[in-house]
Amino acid sequence: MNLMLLLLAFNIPFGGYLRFESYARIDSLKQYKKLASSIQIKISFERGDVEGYGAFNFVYDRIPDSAYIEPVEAYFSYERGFLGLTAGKRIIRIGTADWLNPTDVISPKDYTTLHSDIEEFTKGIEEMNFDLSFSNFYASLYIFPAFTPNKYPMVPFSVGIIPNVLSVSFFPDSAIKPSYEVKYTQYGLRFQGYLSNIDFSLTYLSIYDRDFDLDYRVCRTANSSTIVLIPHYNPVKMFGADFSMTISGWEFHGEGAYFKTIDEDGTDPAVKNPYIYAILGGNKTFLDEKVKFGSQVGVKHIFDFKDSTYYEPSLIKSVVYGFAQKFNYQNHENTYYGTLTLGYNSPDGSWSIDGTLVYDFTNNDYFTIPKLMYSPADAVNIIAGLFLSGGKGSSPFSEMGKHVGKLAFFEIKFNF
Amino acid sequence: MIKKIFWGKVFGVGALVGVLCIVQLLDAQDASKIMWRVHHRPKWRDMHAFMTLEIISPNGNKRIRKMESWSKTDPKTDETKMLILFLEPADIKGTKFLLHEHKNRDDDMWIYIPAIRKAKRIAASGKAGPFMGSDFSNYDIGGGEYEDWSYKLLKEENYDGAPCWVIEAIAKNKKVVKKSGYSKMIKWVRKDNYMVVRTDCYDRSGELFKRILTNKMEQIAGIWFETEMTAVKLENNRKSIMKFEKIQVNIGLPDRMFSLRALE
Repeated sequence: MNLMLLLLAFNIPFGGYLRFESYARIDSLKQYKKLASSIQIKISFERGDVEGYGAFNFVYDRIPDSAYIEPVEAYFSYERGFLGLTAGKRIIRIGTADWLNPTDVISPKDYTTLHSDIEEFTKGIEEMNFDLSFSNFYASLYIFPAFTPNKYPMVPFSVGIIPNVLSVSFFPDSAIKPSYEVKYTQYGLRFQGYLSNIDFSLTYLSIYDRDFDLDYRVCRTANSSTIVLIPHYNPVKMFGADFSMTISGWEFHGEGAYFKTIDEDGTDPAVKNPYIYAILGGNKTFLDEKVKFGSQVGVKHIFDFKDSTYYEPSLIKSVVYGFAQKFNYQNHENTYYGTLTLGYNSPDGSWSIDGTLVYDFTNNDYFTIPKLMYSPADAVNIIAGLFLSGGKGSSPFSEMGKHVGKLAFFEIKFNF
Repeated sequence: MIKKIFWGKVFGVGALVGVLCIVQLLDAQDASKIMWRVHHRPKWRDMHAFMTLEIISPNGNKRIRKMESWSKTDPKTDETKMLILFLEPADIKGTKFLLHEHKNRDDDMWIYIPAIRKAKRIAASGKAGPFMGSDFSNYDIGGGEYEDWSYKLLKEENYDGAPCWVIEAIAKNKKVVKKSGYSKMIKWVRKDNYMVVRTDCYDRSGELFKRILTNKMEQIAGIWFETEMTAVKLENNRKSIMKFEKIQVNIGLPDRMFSLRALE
């Protein structure tokens, strides 16, 4: 409250929200997975050509019993004529697809918490970017001085492969990642604009992969061996493109990226092979925008994919490859996806139903957050819904399903 | 004799029909001329204003949307670009809407939602759809195309004490009906300044369902402008009031204000 008084005293515009969230397992409603109260404060100001923005979360979660302050974003931007500069911690989103975004790999994701809105999994990243705009186009140079990986719920484990002969141990806390040295600076270039009714962008990124590969060492004793697996974040280059266009009331979009990993010929069992990932889809509203429909299809193709027999001559490599496939989900040469979005807004706008189903046809895995939203007054939102993921295969969706289970959630949010 | 009477009657009826046709044609021409002047009123080069939109449900519940808007018209093409920034309610604060109007093709529209942090192109088919969830449609706000309608002068009468032409506008084809959401409109046009003070809107099946009223108008930099309008849905009496305040015109807004970069 003192912070708000301070902001008022200095006449700095601020806003934010107060929110309560509760998530409980459907199969055991007594078991809560999240019981959190949070307040977000957003401040913004403008002095001449300089703008500043900051958003901070103050969260108290009973499960686990923890309280923390999270700087969501804090940055300055300067704009004069056709030149622009932004510096600070910022969420950068690119791409035109919904939910599955092949090119959206700049800002890290945190999957260790639960949110009813998929956008909230994305976190800010320290960056500087220079923009140059001309007419309908603009170009951006991004510089990322620090590396932040995607966060997954990972626990160390040790498992026997051949009893008393070979075992595997995984130590997530010992991850190898680029340190804060200038030589590990990441960067990106993006050119975007529109011609007639088509928006497009081309993106090149030279970054460190936010998802880890593996590093492995073999510790031998007289009678047995242990393969020690450690997460290793490697460099990756991404060449991406996207478009969005409108025809006869439909919005069509596409997004694709080629990822050039350090294992260019696909012979390292512990490192991801180069791959291409593309999504195509469309959206339309009906009945005066009361009904919303959207659908997408996508494919991920892994170059030089090796089946499990390739590394069989080496037991160690074969075992490492098995674990690497499990961690980085490169277990099929081609993985096919589909999404379906349906929504309905009530005529007076006070309530709506919304749901997107993401389905992995190759692994038969799924992820969806259907929800009912009710707004009893301006800026007050009550949301109830389901957080469902699972399936029989090995994908991020089935892993999430195993980790958090099927959940029902309730959320009330007061925006100010 | 009988023949003479017969031909005299035929001639008389023919002359009457002809006169009626000419009167109809003149009415149509007059109505078209009036509506041409309505659609081609002088415009400012650019405009900045604060807008308030009150949506009042039949039971009296009121929801208020506050926006800041900038617009600029290209004098060569007469095409307008518009940027709207939402200020209230708090849950949609920071949302931006960018419109590039086109005469020969669908308008380009983008929306920037702060939670997503990227601008998204949206389809223009929603012109008949509600403007910000209100009883105004996007078509009401955009004004529509003069060429899309056939006009007929119905009568002349005083409205709110001002002499007006009452003009019927009928959609020329199904495409216009689909785009606008209206099969017919009846407009009360003030004779002194060519401002539309009332529009009765007929739905796709020809039923009167909505009325748009101009509550206040002001002359700014020599140009008349509606500063307060009400749209009423007649079936349930739900209404929306749109007000413009702190209007600034011809202030030299730069083109880059209406670029994609300005959205993000």
